[in-house]
Amino acid sequence: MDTFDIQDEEIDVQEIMRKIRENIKKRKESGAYPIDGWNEANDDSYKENDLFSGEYDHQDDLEKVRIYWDIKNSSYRISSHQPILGAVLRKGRELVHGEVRRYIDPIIGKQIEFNRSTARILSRFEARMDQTTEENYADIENKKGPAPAAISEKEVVDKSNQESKFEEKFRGSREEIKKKQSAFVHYFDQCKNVLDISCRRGEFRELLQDLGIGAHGVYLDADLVSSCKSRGLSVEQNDVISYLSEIEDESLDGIFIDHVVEHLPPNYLVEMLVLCHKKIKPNYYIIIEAVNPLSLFSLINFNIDIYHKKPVHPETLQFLLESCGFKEIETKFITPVSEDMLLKKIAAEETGIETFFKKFGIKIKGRKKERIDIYNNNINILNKMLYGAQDYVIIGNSR
Amino acid sequence: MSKPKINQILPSLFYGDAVGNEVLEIRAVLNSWGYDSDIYAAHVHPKLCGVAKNYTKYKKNSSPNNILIFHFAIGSEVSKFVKNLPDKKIIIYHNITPSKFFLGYDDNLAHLVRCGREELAAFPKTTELALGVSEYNRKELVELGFKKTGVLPIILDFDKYAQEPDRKILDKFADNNTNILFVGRISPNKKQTDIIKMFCYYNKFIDPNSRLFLVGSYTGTESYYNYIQRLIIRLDLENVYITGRVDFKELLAYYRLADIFISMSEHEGFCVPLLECMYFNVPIMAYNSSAIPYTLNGAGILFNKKNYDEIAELAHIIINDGSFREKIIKKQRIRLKDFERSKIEEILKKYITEVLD
Repeated sequence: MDTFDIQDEEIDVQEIMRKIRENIKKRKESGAYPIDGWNEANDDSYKENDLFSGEYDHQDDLEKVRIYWDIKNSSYRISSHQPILGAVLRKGRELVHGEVRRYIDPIIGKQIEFNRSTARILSRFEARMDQTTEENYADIENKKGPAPAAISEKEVVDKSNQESKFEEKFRGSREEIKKKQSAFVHYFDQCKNVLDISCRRGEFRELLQDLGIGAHGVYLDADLVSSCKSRGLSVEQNDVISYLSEIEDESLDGIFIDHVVEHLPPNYLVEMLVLCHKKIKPNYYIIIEAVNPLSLFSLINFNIDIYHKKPVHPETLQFLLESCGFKEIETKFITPVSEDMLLKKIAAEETGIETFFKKFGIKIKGRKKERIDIYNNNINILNKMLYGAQDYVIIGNSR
Repeated sequence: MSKPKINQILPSLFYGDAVGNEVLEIRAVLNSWGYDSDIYAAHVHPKLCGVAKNYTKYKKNSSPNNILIFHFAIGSEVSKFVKNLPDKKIIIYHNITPSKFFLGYDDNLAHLVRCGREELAAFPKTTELALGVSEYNRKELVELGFKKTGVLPIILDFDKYAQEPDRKILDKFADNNTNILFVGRISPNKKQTDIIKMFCYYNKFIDPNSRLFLVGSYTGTESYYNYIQRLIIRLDLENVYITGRVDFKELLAYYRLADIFISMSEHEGFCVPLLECMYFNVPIMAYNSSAIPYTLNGAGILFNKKNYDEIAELAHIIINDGSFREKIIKKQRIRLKDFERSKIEEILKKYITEVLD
């Protein structure tokens, strides 16, 4: 929208605007107009913001806190327009007002003090934040080294090899991964158009291909896409949301998402799941595998992958899938740690008394066994917390 | 059968404000047509004591044969009183300033205007005709559910503007300085603070020999007035004149001194000063809000954004470019003809006849 609305055919509006801009430019160049952002710096016009929608302007709220802290009603006047009864009414109102004020004034006084202190704290806090932000920027600028050189082709190839080695070392071999993922292949029986999001080395793609299940993979990294293609896998390089947005609604008959959700910002994740529900046919499955944050061992290892952003709680993912419209959500915990890592339980031995009563068909629990059972239960709980399954899989139906 | 009476009623009859003047003009017109016409109000300015009666007295004069014109601009006890009367009712809606503008400045007034909008919403079923003083107001009436609506612009007696202006003021400011004018009550919705910010750019970067006249009463809006004064100090401005209430001849003097009129108001029901500027050949620049584009109807210059630098630069061009200035004034004079008294009187007559029939 233009600044000026001039409804006159005789007036050359373009010429007028050109003159205006030229004048402003001249004043800035001459130094007569030193202040940048003059309009914004001097704009305190009332902005109507919904509480939680639209762009949030904390300056507007801060200004309101500064204006409204004093809640005294100074403009209240006791009056009456009645010609005869007016004096009586005024007196009556004064009496009532006086009595009410005895109760209300202390409360108002306390509230005003609270408001004043809060307004002051917020103002100081805001100033301190601005100062800290400036210091941080300055710090970063000082520590910044020279810009990194462009990466050569050799380095690209090396990077691709490096990622493969990383997968091999920390996720397991391709055979191990395929073996683990084969437990979920049956969800895609008879399917012709399963989407494998971020197919990595393409293990799941290979599995499906081996079983004659039609599938297509989407991955952002050109080199890994190239590696998948070289093995004859149908895969493309694309951003997931862009890809999903372009395909037809209800065109997929399955979606597999393998260790992707940990890499995504929340908004992206939500948008991706919404699109998944839109693009999958009714009564087909979505399967998501992710790192299990309920296991401390798994959580500690989360940061081995430097591209992980944050783990996603299985209940959160369940909630998100339900919100998108998926039903019959099931969560399974997979990839247990090796047995030798777990805390050891105590084997309970049958006591003499238990043996004696056993002859008579009476089963009793000695106090020692009771204690051992309690101990072992606690070990189970601890093992689950500390050394629980490393991954979880969540399955949903697009009913 | 005797001629029906046509009376007027309103919450407060103030001296010199747009609503008060409108009420007096309508009474004069009705009297000239031979109608018995009285004014009733809850609060009457001391200078108008003999002109209006207390609204409670109307009850004994109330009759289904009479027409009662209810001027609506704020919430009050008069609303409930009028609603229960059997008279044929015409509402003249001057618009109610949204309460958001008064928050932090006058909470009582914020409450009254909020109540006012609720009270108005209770009238559609019992009102024969609802008139807005502008198309902007009429649209609000339609949204509130009034079935029969119309537009009755403010009646102005332009003859009185031909009086001699106040000489002292003319002499005091008789120099080559540029005078920027805004006329209107000192009130948060009229955004005098924004005019000051624009003037700051104008005075500091374009024309140091310039003045800003803010002509209008600040009685009842002292907190906003104080805010304006603090802003003037913060911006280190010297040539800002906040006159307070002025008498009619002083007002005429300010119009005659003005080189340009600039409004940053964000809410107006009609804006009488725009017509006054047109009469005095003062070019108008106004922020495009509420009823202002309807009152101007293509005359003057509207701006959609408060870019103070651009507004100040354009004001400077208008003041110094004779032919550009003339074009604006010519269009304003054409627009002013739409508000000739005889035309408005005809419109009023038509509405009165409709209701009586």
